[in-house]
Amino acid sequence: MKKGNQIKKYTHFIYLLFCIVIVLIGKSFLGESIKYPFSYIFSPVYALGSKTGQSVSNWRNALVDASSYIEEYNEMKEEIARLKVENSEKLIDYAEYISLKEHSAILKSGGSYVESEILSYKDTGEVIINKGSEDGVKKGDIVVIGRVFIGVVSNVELKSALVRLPINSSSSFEVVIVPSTVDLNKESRVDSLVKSKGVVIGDVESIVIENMGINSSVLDGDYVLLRDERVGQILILGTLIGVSKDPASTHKTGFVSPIFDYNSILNVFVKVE
Amino acid sequence: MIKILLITISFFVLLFVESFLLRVFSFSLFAVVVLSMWKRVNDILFYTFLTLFGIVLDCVLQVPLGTHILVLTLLFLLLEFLWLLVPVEGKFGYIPIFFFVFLYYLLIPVVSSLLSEGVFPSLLSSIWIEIFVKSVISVGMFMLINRFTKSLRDNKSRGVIRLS
Repeated sequence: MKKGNQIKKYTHFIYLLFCIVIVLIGKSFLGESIKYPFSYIFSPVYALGSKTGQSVSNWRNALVDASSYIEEYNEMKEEIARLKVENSEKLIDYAEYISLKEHSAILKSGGSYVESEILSYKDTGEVIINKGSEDGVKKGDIVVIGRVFIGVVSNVELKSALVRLPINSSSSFEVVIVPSTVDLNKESRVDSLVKSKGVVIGDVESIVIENMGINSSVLDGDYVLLRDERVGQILILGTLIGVSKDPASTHKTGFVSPIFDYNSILNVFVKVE
Repeated sequence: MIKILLITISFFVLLFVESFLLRVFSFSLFAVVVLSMWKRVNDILFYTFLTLFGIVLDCVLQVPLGTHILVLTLLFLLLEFLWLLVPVEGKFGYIPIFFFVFLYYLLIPVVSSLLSEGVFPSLLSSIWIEIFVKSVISVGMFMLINRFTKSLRDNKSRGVIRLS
């Protein structure tokens, strides 16, 4: 009886030791084996709950923004009527439009991609997608939309994966800056157009760019392209804003405005080998 | 048999509701449930539930294995210590509960970042305000559950002498 009471007193500490053991097992090769059955059984329930929550969240946002939607709708109706009148003589040849669309590459050729949906967005600058190891996704895979870089897969489960965005504080990549006048759809070699190199580091809600040449002619609006061996190809990160103008500094700094608002992305593509 | 079936179904429903609330309000019902079960159910049952649900949450939320159970165990130890200073039945008995939930929301991202990347995450001021509001709501829910269980106990044991 006494022994039983004594054990009861120390239950918390015994359980704490058990938790530490679980953490250490999680870090070892056994971690994946333990996670696999739980992911297999419970990931669909989590995905369903998350999707239901997303639709409720969308309705909530729509109700909150209802007045602005009505205003925007009325403005768009007026603009459509105006454009119809202006462009009635300039109708685009449908056949020409179709052939242009066929020739414009949305996805860079030479790779296979897995389309996935974003299940949730975390405050730490990460998103969870609904594709995992059973779809061929691996740690380190690049996530893109067209030629725009979205993130890197940092953790993979059976039916989901965690993608680290450039705004995550652990993200850092080597980049190059090219002029804003460059047509990235036409130019395949950007080496001769590089204004400066730099390094981008995630800072919770923004992307900071550092180590740009002090004598470089970088300007607000220039394109920031990812050129990092871990990524393996040149991808668009965003545009340069807020370039520092401190003449006493040894290098220039600034911020990168991403092409997409990461909160609003619904579908992404994971490049799998 | 029915009991096991009901527990299994409740487990899945709790996971669904937890993922729903996390998505809509970033609010965790798990913390409130675990607090309500603390010292109310058998220890073995409690720790089994905590371990299983904690591991499930670690898997679906993509955090390192053991994050949720480690954080909750440390917080329960802190709660026991705080209850030595502030009596449970006193006027300020819910203040330790508030700290418990506040630290839960704070420590989950911190511990998961430290375990996965070894980096301390940046926490914006807006996150602190969000955590404060969620903690207040959680304490409110805990108070309601407390009142409800007390009223159930009082109704059941009207004709019974209780030795405290």
